[in-house]
Amino acid sequence: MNKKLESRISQLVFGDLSEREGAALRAEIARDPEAVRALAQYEALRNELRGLPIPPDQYSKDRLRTAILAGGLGTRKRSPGGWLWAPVAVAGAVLAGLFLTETRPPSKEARFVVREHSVEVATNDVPTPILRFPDEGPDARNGLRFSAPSVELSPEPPSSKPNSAASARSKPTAPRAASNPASQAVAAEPGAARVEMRALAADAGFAPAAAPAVPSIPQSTAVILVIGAEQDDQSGATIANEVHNPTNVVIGV
Amino acid sequence: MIRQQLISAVRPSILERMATQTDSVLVQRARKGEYEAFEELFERHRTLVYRFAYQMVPRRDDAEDIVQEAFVRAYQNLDRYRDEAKFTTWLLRIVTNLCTDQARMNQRRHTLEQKEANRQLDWMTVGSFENAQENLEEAQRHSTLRRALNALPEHHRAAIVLRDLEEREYPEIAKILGCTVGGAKLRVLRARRALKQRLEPLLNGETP
Repeated sequence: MNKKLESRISQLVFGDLSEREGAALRAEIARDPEAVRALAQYEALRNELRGLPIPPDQYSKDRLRTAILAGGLGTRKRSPGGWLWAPVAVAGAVLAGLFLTETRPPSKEARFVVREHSVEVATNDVPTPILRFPDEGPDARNGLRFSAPSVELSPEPPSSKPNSAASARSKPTAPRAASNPASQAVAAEPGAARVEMRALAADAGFAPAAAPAVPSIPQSTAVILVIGAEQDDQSGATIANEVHNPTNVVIGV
Repeated sequence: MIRQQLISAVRPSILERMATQTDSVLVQRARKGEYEAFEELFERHRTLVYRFAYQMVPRRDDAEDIVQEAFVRAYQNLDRYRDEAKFTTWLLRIVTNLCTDQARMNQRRHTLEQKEANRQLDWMTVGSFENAQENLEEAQRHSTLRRALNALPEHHRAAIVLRDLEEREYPEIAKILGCTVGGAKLRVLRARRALKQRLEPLLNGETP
């Protein structure tokens, strides 16, 4: 006997078929002994199920009332609109985020900017770092590059000791400095730890008066060595080599 | 005397009004805070809930716990009840979920208890027949049927109880079980077939 016939027999027994369908099925079952046996089994199953005793419950209203009181009086109140507030809140948060992103002031932290071509940038916020060797002579002025407004770091008067050593390293930048007559950088005198920074404010249109005040840098007596890396001829290893040991080095920031 | 007449005249009208109020009216009144209306709902449907719970978890104390939990949850969630469905359908859905959880928890405990009692618990039911032999056979058949019913998966057991014991219509069964009408019919057919296979000796008249 296939499952389809068995299912129809169970439907017949439990009253899921109409009278016409039931009569047709009974005629079909009568020709199949196995179906007759299945019909008898389902009828017995129905009778057994309906004869299952159920003991009376001993539940009372008082017990229910106590349970409800224990769980808290009243039904839970939900906010009007229910979950409709959720998308509105999300949209509001997104809009607030966009607004804050757009109106946030630009960061003053340093950033790397990659450019395909060199660009000269002038600023009146922060002076660029300058490393000068006062004993390298007045020719060193040609090697200075400024992109910040004029800032005087030290009010000390310049000393009279002249710079004697000429800087060969400043030569590559000489054409650029020479091409800009507005540059008025003055070499610091030896031992005076003084530097004057004059920006090329004229090029950028900045007024020197707009430059921020920079505190003076105290004089240092420590010896600063400039060390370069070189390759050892014998071993091929990288070794440190003293390039310069000036006594008066001013590092301006 | 006049007072008695007044009471006799008023009381039937109150009873009639209570009897004619539909479940949805009682639910609305209960939502407004009339606990008496909810108690009326409880009185109307407690037997239905208890019968269903007892068929699903055949221990009276467990079934009574489910009755309590079902009505407590119904009371706490009355604002979620929608009038499109019958109150009993909504209530039985709560009961079905509770029974499923309870049946899973009880399965292991019941097995251990039966083993511990060496199946002596099955014979402790007191029958109503005077003939001891009949009592014994009757109790044995019921016990066998109950064990077979409990051995079915919960979704099959719920389908059989709803359709063949509580005689609910298929659309309502579908709503209670959370499936389609076709799915409910298929589930009932499969559950009957599975139950018949488990009860072959009993249905063939053999002693279980």
